[in-house]
Amino acid sequence: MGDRKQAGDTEFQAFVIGRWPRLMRTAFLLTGEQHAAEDLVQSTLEQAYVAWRKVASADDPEAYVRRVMINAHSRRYRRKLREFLAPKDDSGLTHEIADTGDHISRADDRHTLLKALAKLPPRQREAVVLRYWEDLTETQAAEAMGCSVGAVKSNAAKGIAKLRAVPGLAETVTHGGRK
Amino acid sequence: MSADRETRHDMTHHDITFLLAEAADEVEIGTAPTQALIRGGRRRRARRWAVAAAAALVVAGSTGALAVGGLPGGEDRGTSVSARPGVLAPQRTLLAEGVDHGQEWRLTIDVWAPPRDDEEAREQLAAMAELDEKPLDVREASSLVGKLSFFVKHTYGELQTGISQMTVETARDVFTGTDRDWGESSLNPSTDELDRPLVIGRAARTAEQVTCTWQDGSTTEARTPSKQSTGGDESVLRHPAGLPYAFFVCVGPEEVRLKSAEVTK
Repeated sequence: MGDRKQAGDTEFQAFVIGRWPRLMRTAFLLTGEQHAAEDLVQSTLEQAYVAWRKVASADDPEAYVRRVMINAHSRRYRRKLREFLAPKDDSGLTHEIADTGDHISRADDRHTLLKALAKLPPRQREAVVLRYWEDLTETQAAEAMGCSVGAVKSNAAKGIAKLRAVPGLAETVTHGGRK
Repeated sequence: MSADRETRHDMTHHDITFLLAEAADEVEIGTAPTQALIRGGRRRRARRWAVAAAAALVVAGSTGALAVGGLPGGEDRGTSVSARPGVLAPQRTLLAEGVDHGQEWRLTIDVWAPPRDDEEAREQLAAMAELDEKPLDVREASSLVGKLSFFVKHTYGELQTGISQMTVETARDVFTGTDRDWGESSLNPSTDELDRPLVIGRAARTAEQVTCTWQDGSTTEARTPSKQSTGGDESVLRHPAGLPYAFFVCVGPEEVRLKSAEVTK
């Protein structure tokens, strides 16, 4: 088993080195924070290591790992939801975005987007990131999120609509292009 | 939708994609910590064996269907009651048993055969739930189709806990020659301390003996028990019904950790 295990480790390392930058960027968009992104990617890849034989023999190992990451991201949110379960204003999300508008309007566009993304419900954030950053089709995003294509469409549309409603971003996306 | 509106719509999506790409560049990529990931993966693999030890403590007797007191210790055997063995009721095998600090302990494994289709998978999931057995990472019953599931249960005195669970595609989960993997837990599941270490692992069905070497230099050999054995088999190698591999159990001396486990025959 030693040789096979060694070969598996080597293969895993090569996979990690090749995918690390992309996974970090995706995780950063999902979490909006450097350390949280590192945690998410590390936890994802550790899980991939445990199931490496299965991952390596999958038709698309990257898609497999992406799904693990989305599951891990969703699980973390659910855990947080339970921890912070408390009555909230129904309009909480809209209110929070509008509330920070003045501050955001002075900030860099990238930070504006990150903050706006972070305020989206996780499933909407996942749908937006998978569709518009990972450039997945609706079907691929549905596989990664473990939901229906309809749910991806709905979550992505709601997410984009909320991003468009953010003052700093609304201007950008309405007038197009930026440097 | 007018052409103008369509153009603006596309442009909006393009811009969001562009902004996402820019925002993603904010992250510091750094060097991939490959060795740390492998170490973390190995720790995670070990924990997987003891996944429910902290969370699933239940009082034995509240799940009467899991009582295995009538099973003899010296021979593997299944107890399926379904038409197709193992699909709607697990094949149950006693792995090991003994006495520790006056408490009787026992390890058993429930093996569920792969369902053939979605309907069988749904029935199997329901049957598992009746035994308080829930496969991890299974969102829909259909994902059980073609896969074998097993649950290792640990009873210690009045406590019963799930200690390991896996759902595997047997064609991909193959052990041959000296292949083995294992997880380390504590014989007494009610303590976080190591106490006496309990090692449970898998090996090829052809394996006849696994030697566990402890950090104090002592060794424990897990062998297939003789037919005449009447219990007290703490460290054994079993070939549970319905599984493509053997299971070994090693119980170590107080407060030492496992150094290695090797197939030695």
